[in-house]
Amino acid sequence: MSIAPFADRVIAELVRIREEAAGHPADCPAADEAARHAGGGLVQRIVVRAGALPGSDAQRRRLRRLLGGATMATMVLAVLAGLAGIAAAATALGAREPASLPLVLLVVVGANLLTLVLWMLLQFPGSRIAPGIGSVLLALWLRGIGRGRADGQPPPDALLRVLASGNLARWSAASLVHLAWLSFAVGAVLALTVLLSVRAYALSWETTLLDAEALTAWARLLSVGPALLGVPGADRLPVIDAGDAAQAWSLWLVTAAIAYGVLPRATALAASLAMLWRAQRALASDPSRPGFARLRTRLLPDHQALGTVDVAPPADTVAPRRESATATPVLRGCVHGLCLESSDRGAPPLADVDWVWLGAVDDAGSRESALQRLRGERVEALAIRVRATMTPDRGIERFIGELASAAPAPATLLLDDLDRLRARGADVHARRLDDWQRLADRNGFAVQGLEAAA
Amino acid sequence: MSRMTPVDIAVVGHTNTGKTSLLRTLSHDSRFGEVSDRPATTRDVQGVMLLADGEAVVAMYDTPGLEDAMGVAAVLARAHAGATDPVAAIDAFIAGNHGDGRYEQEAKVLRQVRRSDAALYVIDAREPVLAKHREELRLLAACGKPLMPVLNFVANDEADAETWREQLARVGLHVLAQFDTVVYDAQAEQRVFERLATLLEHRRRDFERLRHSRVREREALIESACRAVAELLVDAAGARRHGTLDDDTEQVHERLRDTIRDAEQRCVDTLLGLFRFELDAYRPPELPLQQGRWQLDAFDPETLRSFGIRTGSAAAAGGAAGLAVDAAVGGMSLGAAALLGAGLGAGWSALRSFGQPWVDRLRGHQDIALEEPTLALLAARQHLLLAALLRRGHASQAGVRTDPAQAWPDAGLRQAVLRCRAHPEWSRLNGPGGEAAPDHAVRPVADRLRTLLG
Repeated sequence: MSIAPFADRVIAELVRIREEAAGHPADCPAADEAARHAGGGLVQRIVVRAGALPGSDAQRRRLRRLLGGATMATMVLAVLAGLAGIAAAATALGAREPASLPLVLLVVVGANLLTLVLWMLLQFPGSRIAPGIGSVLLALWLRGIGRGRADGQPPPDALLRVLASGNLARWSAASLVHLAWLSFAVGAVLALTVLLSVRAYALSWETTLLDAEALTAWARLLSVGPALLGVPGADRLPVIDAGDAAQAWSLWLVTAAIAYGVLPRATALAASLAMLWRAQRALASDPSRPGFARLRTRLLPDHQALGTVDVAPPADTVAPRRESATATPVLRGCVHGLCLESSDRGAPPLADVDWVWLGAVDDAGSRESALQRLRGERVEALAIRVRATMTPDRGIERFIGELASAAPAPATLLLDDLDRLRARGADVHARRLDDWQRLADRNGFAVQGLEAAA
Repeated sequence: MSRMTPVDIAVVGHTNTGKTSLLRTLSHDSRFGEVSDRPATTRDVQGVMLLADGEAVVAMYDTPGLEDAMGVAAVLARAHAGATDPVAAIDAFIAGNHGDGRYEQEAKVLRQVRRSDAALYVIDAREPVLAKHREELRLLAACGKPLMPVLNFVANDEADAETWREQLARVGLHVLAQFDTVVYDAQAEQRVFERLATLLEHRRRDFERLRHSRVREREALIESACRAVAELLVDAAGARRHGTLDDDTEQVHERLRDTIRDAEQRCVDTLLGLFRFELDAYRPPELPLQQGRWQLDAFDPETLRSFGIRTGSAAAAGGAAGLAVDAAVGGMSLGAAALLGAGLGAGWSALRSFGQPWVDRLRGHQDIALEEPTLALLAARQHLLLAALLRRGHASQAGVRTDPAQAWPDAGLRQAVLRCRAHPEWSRLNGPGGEAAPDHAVRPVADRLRTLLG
C-alpha cells in the first residue's frame, strides 16, 4: 500500500484539527472532487483533499522551512556533541602522565552509558507514556506566548502542535538525544584513535583504594566488551604493569570506547528512528477519527447516480369523459353495486337503496362478466365500492371508465376503509382522498365515504 | 483478471409500493428520485450504482409502477399470441407500439427487466393479494429473469407478510426479502443482498463485496461516533480554567461552562453529521434533542436531577482539579530530562503532578475543573443520544441508564473518564498547549461506550 508523503499527512492532520474545532468540515467541492478523482482508500482521499484545500500550500512551505530549520539545528547539535566528545577524550588522555585507563574510559563512556540505561528503564512503563520533553517545552513556550496574547487573536501554531505531540515528538526527541550522544561517542573514539596513534602515552591501571585483586577483577569485567569484538584485555594483558603492554592496552581502550559508547547508542538510535518512522506513518492514518469519518460520504461515496436511463413518456392527458355529477346525491332507489379489488364485503347498508349487488370484481374474468351484466340490464344508478387505502392507478381508472360506459347512469365511488387511511397520517389521508376525487371527476363519478353509513 | 461489469438489478412493482424508497435505502442516498404516496410519482427509469470501496458493483434501476398489468396481458393475448414463447411475446410487445402508447409506462418496466440480470418485485405488504398482482407476477415471470419479491412496510400493523409469503410460494417465488423503508434496519439491507446472491449465484462475489463493505462502513460509523463522544469526555475531564485569585470566581467558572457547552454542542453536531443519511431517509428516531440541541443546559441543576444525579451543590463546575498523582507523566518527563542532562524536566513534572495547586496559590492563581456530576451528565446524555441514533434503547432515559444514583451509564466508563481528570494536557479545551487527546486516553472510553451500545 502506498502511503502519502509526510508533509501531506501532516497537512491532513492539521485540517482535521481545524475542522474538528470548527465543528464541521470545510466546504470545498473542488478539493472533494480532486480527492474522488485520485481514488484509493479513504485515508488517501482524505490526504489528497487536505492538500487541495486553500491555504495548504502555504502550510506546506512553512513545514518545509520548519523541517529545514530542524535539520540544520540537528546538524549543529551533532557537530557540537562531536566536538565535546573530542575535547573530553583529549582532556582525559592528556590530564596527567601516565593516563589512567579506567578514568579515560569513564570520561568517554560513563555519562553516555548511564543516561542510556536510565532511558531504557523509562521505556518500561510501556505505552502509557505521556508528554515527552518536546511537548513539555512546547507547552511552556506556548503558554508563554499564550499569556501575552489578547483574546480573539489567531490560535498558536497548530503545525508545531502536530509535530510536537504524541509519539512523533517522543521519538524525535529520543532520536535527537541518541544522535547527540552518538556524535559524542564517535568524536571521542576518533580523538582517542588519533591521539594514541600520533603521541606516546604512558597508560596504567592505577588505584589507591583497591587492592590488586579487586583491580584485576574490575579490569576483567571491563574487558568483556572488547573481548566480544575480538580484542584481548585483562585476561591476557598485565594489569598491574600495564605500561609494559601500552600498545595492546591502547587498542583495548579504543575498542572499549566503541563497545560501550558507540554501539549501544547506535542501536538505540536505530530503534528510535524505526519508532519515529512508525509514528509518522500513523499520522492521518486513522479514518475512524470523527473529523475524518465525516468526510467518508463525500470522498468515498457508497453510491453514484446514473441519472435517467429511459425518459418519461409525455404526461397522460385524460379528458373528463362525462360531466361531473357530484352535486346531487344519487344513491337512492335501485342501484347496481359492486366491490372492486377486494374480497366481497357485500352491499353497504345504505338507507333508501335497493341494491342489485354484482359482488367482488377483481380478475379479468369477473371484470368481463360485470361489464356484460351492466350492458345487458337497465341500470338506474351505479355504485363502486373501493378501499380508500388502495392507490388509484391507471388500471383501476381504465376499468372504472369501462364500467361507466357500460352503464350510462349516475355513478358513485364508495370509499371504504377510511379509518385505516386516516391511521396512515393526516397528509396521506388528505392526498389520497384528493386522488380519488380527481379520478371521480375525470370519469363523472360522485364520491361518498362509507364510514358514517357503515 | 478483468473486472466484470456491474450486476444490473431492476426494481419493479405495482405503483406506490415504495420502489424509490427501497432504492434510497439500498443506495444510502436520501435524495434519489422522487417519493410521494401518490400513484405514478416515478415515470422514467433512473439508475444508481452501488459502490463497494469506491468500485462499481451493483447497478439498480428504479422503474415506473406497473399500473395496468391486466391491460398489458390483454394486449399480449390479442397481438402477440403467436409468439414462440412468453419471452418472445414480451420482446415483441416492447418492440411494438405498446397498445397504441397506452402502456408506455409498463413497456419501460418490462424493457428494463429484460436489460437487467434480475428484478426486485416490491410489494406493499399492507395490500391484500389481488388478481392484478398475480397478473404482474405472470408478466414479470415471462421476462425470463430471476425475480425476487421484497415485502415493504412489514413493520406496519396492517402488513400481512404471511399471506403474501404463501401466495408468492404458490407462483414459485420462495426466495424473498422483508424490508421496511420507513423504519431503519441495517440487518434487512444485508438480507436483501444476501438473498440476491442466492438468486444470482454466479455473481455472489459481487454481492458479498457489497455486503462486507456496507458492514465495514457501518462499523466505522459507530466507531467514529463512539470516538467523538469519548473525545468530548476526555476533553471535558481535563478541561481547566485559570484565573488569578483577584478574579471573580464565578467568572472563571462561567468561562469553563461556556467552553463545555460549546464542546458538547460540537459533539452533538458531529454525531448528527455522521448519521445524516439515516436521519434524512427514514422516519427519524426519537432523539432527545430539540432542533439539534439539548433542551436543558448541562449546568442547570434541574438537568442533573432529571438524570437522577444527586449533588449537594448547584454549581457543577468548581473545586480543585483531581490531585491524582500520575507516575507515568512524572516518570517520563523525568526520563526525558535526565537524557538531556538537566533536572528541569523532573522539576517541571513534579510541579505539575504534585505541586501545581500550591504553586498556583503562591503565584496567586486559581485552577477550575469540572466536578464529577457534570462529567456524569455529559456521559449520560451523549450515550443516550448515541443509543437513540442507533435505534437502541428507544431514547427512553430510563432504558439506557444503568446507575441511577450517579448517572454514569456504566462503572467502567466512569473509571475511564475520571482517569483523564489528572491529564489536562489531553484536553483540547485548554487552549494553547493543549494537545489532541492521545489514542491511549480516548480508546478505553470509546471501547467502553462501544461495549455499552452492544
